[in-house]
Amino acid sequence: MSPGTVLALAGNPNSGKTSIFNALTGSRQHVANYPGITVEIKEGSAHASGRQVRVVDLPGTYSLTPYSPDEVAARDYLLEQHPDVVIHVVDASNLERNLYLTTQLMELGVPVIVALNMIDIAEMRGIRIDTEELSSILGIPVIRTVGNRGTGTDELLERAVATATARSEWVPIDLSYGAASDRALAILESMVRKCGLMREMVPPRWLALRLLEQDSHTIDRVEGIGGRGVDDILDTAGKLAEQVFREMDDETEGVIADHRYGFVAGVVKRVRTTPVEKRVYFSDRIDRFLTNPVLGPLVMAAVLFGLFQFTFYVSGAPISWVESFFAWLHGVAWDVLPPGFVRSMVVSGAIDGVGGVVGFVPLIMFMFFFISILEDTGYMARIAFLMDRIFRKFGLHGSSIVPFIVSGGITGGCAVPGIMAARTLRDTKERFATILSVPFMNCGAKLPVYALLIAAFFSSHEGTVLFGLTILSWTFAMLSAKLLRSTILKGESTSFVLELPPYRLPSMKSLLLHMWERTWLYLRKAGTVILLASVIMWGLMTFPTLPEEEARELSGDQLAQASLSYSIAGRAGRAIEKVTRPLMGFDWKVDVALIGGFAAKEIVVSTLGTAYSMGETESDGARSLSQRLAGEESWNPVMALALIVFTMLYIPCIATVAVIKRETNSWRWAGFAIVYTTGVAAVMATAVYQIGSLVT
Amino acid sequence: MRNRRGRKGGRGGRASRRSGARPGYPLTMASSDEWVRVVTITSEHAAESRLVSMGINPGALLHVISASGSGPIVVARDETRFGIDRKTAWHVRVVPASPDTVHAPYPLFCDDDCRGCSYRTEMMKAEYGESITLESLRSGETGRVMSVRGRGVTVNRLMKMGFVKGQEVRMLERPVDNDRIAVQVGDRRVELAGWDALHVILEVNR
Repeated sequence: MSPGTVLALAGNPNSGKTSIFNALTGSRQHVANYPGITVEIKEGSAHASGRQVRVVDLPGTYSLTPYSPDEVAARDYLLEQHPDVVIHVVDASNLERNLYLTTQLMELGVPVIVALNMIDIAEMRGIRIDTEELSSILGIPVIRTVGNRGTGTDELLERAVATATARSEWVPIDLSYGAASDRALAILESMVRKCGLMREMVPPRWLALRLLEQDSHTIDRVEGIGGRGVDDILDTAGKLAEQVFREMDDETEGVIADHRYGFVAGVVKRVRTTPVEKRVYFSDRIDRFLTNPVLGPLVMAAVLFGLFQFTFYVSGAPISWVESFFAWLHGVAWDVLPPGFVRSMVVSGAIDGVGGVVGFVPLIMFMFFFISILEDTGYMARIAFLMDRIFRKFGLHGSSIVPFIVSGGITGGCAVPGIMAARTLRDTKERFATILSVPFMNCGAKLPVYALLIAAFFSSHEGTVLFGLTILSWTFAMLSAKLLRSTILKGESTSFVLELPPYRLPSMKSLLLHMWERTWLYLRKAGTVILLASVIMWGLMTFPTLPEEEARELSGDQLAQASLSYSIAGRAGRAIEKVTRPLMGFDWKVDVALIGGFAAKEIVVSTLGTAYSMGETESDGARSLSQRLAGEESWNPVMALALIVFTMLYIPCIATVAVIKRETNSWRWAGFAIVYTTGVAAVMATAVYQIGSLVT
Repeated sequence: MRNRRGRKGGRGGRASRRSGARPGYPLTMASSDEWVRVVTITSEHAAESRLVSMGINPGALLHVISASGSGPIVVARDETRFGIDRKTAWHVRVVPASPDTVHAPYPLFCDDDCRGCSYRTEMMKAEYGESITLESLRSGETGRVMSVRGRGVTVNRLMKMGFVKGQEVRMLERPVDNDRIAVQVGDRRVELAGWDALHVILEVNR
């Protein structure tokens, strides 16, 4: 065994690959009870019999004939990287469908080891699986595992490493696909073998099978290789496929799939026993109620509304504790440090900047906790399901829902993984429309901005306002998608099949873990990016300092204001203010904050914290930022609402722009996203401010 | 010129290419709490292959959880639930089935010597109850034609061969070669492909 042994985890979406990955490597990748969360190839390392092995978590895939970009990535990894062993994670409750992929993997010839995962749930349902029989029929090791509890994973690792050591070359198995296909396959296989086509990568029979199925990815690949022999093979493949079609009155792929399922069904019959009595499924009963076209949306609205109300209710007290802590810190620093730039930087830059953001940690924490509940119980997938009808009307694919929810469908999320989750979409136009619309969702970074302004101006209806903002962001995202889909990204909608995971009772441990992971990310960002940005913003708002002679003439409040507006940020802000003030009511401090927000949206809050802290004449830490804002002349609820809308919509943060560039593979789309979102934001914020001002 | 006829994107749906038989009814017509078995999928290629790999394959037993209104349809297969949009569901053709026959058929582990023990034959059984297809008739056995399933070229040809309702047929030889079978229809000997014989549904006294 070489030190570079690679174990690849493959399997259907939602079969628990990531929990196995986490158990093997001790990492903490995000696991959720709905499919399509892992879209990237992730790597970790594990120790087995004193050696280190690399463990790779592949995106979930239903078949080796890929459908969407994430599945292409998974298959290409297997073909190109040749892992030493594939651990096929199989959901024990859905043996039949999962074994469909197992047979494909075995045909590829790669050493496979089956992890019969979530066996505890299957057994709870009364399903009995004869592991030994399964192992002997398939001729590969089968290990019972429970990923989220780490049961069986040590044995799995051991067996996987042993398999890797024992078998270095790939040994494909042969299945029969009926007389007609087998004949065609034999002809094609011998041609492929003679020509040595893709010899390094895949067994000839496997390639022949893909060509006979007329799999477009494989054909494109083979065409890319080119050559006379290759043309011949492709030609023959086309003819043979046609011949099989005529003989069987079915596409070769259909014929092959039928036989594959036939084999699988035979295996399943031998190894599995299910309870005889017809059980009434708990999940089905709930689903009949929750996915009902009338009741479903009502329940969904009630759940979200309740969630927001409750979040504000429980986080109110902790938020005021954190705020008092920062007020205390502000006071201490003010007293301890000598007057001057250092004191100003620490107090106004660091403490008041970061404090504004960290103040909302309790809110973020509770929000993430409740979102984790929705995810882990499986209700999130039902929300996705209910949204499909709406999505369709706006030209989006049902599978776009996962990206939207990950990006902040329930306020609190992130567009970066959201945009990556769009890889599960097959159609490029639907995918791009999704990518360009998800930045409108309410990500976790926008939450402190909302929370700040809600606390300052709408404190009597916190939950309601946030609920309204959630609806608003969905509305904008949907309208945007519709706009894109009926102009530059016009096209037909593709079919939609969503897997609805069964309802599960979430474990407190995993809920707390999820909550903590996300909160930690938020805290870490506050301690690094936001802290740095706050200090930079402080610098921009401090330098250059007011000339001596001017400073001497002023004092107190006036001096502070004058030096602020004399600084770089002040000057830049004043220039923009000429436009934003009459249109949206934003003064220059808000403008500066919004510019800073391009780096990360939390910076809007931290910059406002710094700006208003510096504007104060003396240590006034007793008042929180929201109280200060509420007391400012230039602020009013209409302007606050305009600012909320602008923040919701304008330029995605740098990280999001970068990921848009990567996923669309073009700077033009990334540039378009910036211009487009900012344009929409400016128009909508202006509309809110102008109409709002007229009404009030 | 390279032969691109077989390329996926380049042709219409499978339904338009397939000659005759489109058995069953669309999944959209199923009602809540109904048990059905998928007999065929007629959507465009990529969607079909997706459905099949997800476990909604011909032969799969589905429990319709909810099919009300205009929204997607929720079905259960084994322990998994799927939401399928109506357009896609329309292309999934199903027949009523019983939840007691949880297991799909098992061509590879068939104990007796019946050659017709294929996946499709079993599905046909699901559709037509205890009747069998001509394909699974044993040598020397006789049966009466109940119906010739489907429509199109193959079915027309079968009708011309004499497979019409009420006609008595007898299996002469199977297999003649590869997958062809010889059948006596009235007083004529007819040879046909086993797969064509699947279209003929028989009533047998065993």
